[in-house]
Amino acid sequence: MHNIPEFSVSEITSLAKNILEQNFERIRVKGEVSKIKENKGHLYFSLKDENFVLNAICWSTSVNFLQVFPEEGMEVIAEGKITTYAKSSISSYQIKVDQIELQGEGAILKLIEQRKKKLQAGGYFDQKSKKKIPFLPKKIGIITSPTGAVIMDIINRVKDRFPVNLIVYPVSVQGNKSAKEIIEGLNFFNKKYAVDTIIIARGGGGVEDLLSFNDENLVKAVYHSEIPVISAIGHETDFTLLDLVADYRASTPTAAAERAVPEKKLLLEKIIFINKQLSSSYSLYLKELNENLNIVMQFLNLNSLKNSIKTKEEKIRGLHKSTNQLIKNKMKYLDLNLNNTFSRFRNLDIKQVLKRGFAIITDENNKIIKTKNSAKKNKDILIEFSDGISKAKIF
Amino acid sequence: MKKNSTSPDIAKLSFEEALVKLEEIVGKLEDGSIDLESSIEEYTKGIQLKNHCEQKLKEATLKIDQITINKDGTFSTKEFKNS
Repeated sequence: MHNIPEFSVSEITSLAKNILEQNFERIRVKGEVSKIKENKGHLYFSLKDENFVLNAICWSTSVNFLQVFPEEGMEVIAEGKITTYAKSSISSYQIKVDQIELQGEGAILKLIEQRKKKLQAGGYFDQKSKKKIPFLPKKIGIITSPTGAVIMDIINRVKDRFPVNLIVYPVSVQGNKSAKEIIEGLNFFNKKYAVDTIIIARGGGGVEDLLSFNDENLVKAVYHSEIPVISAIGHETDFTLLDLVADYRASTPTAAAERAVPEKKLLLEKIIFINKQLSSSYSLYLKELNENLNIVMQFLNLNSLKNSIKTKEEKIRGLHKSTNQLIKNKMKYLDLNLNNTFSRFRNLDIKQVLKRGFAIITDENNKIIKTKNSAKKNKDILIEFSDGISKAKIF
Repeated sequence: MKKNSTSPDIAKLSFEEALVKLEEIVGKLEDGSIDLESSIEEYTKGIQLKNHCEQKLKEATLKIDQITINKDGTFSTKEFKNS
């Protein structure tokens, strides 16, 4: 019995602590993340495989430096040290994690695929919610690393095509802070500094390097951005979830610049061309109008009007002729008639009667005296014979 | 009198809207679907639209700013320099 060593709780706790912590001071543990909880910035979770489970903790001071933020079901390699815990009612050991990696490319792709399905089901990649990229932006916000070739590629291409105001929002383009910073950049342009278009850009890289562009919260932030977003991540062959949610996916940063601004030279040429079209079409319009007018005038003048006048003239001439004839005939007729009437009238003439031996007796006032009674005594009378008038007195 | 009222409308147009309107006017003049009086108006409007488009192109100049977010949450801009 006495060969069996005997310790106090504190002694054995201390010894166990020393053994574990000294032997496993820097280790990498492969496992699947489960039961993840966050409290005051610290992360508590488990790493498990098919048989066993290992408690894990990541203090808030380390969380900020994690390359990968652990998620339920994620297959990771956690780096850190084994520590022990023996207080209250618990005595246990755990791994204190200060770095997390995904278990190779396969695990990353699996994770991205899972997220993709989830976000797709949530409608985040729907074509109908894509915003139109402005044709002629005044300001373009660029969320990228302020160093390196990518930003220069964009600036140079924009400069060549259509110089506008570019606003660079610097972010880290990989690492666990990257996604958060890019989201802050999106919020900045949406809320504090209005631009017409946003470009999120990064150069090429491995699947792990591009991980922040597959971040779920970033996808949601781009989806909710009121400003259209162009994504330009890596090379033609690199595809990220950001590319799927972006309003336009450019295969390279240079292509993003080309989509963001039109070519000024072409636009100027177009305006010159359309201006020529405007003047030529207008003068053509006026010319045609003038020709039409001439045609109408000609038609009116020569054919219609002249003919009309001519026929009217002929008609008038004809009318005139027949009227003349009519008048002449009528006149002739009237003439004859008149002569006839006239000679008949002459027969009625008193003078002819006087010639036959009658006489007319009038008073001094030339009033005809027709009866014996009206012939007053001692009055002078006038007797009109056919050849003259004689004075006489009634006795 | 219409001329005065169209100018502010045109000033509000974006480059591409103005260009579309300009093309419409050219179309109308080309097919001769308008009368003489409105053709004068349209032509004048066309000239204004063309000037507006040119102005829009002239306005654009290259300027590159970089944003810095300060610790208190405010931000400042400075000229961009690729380091």
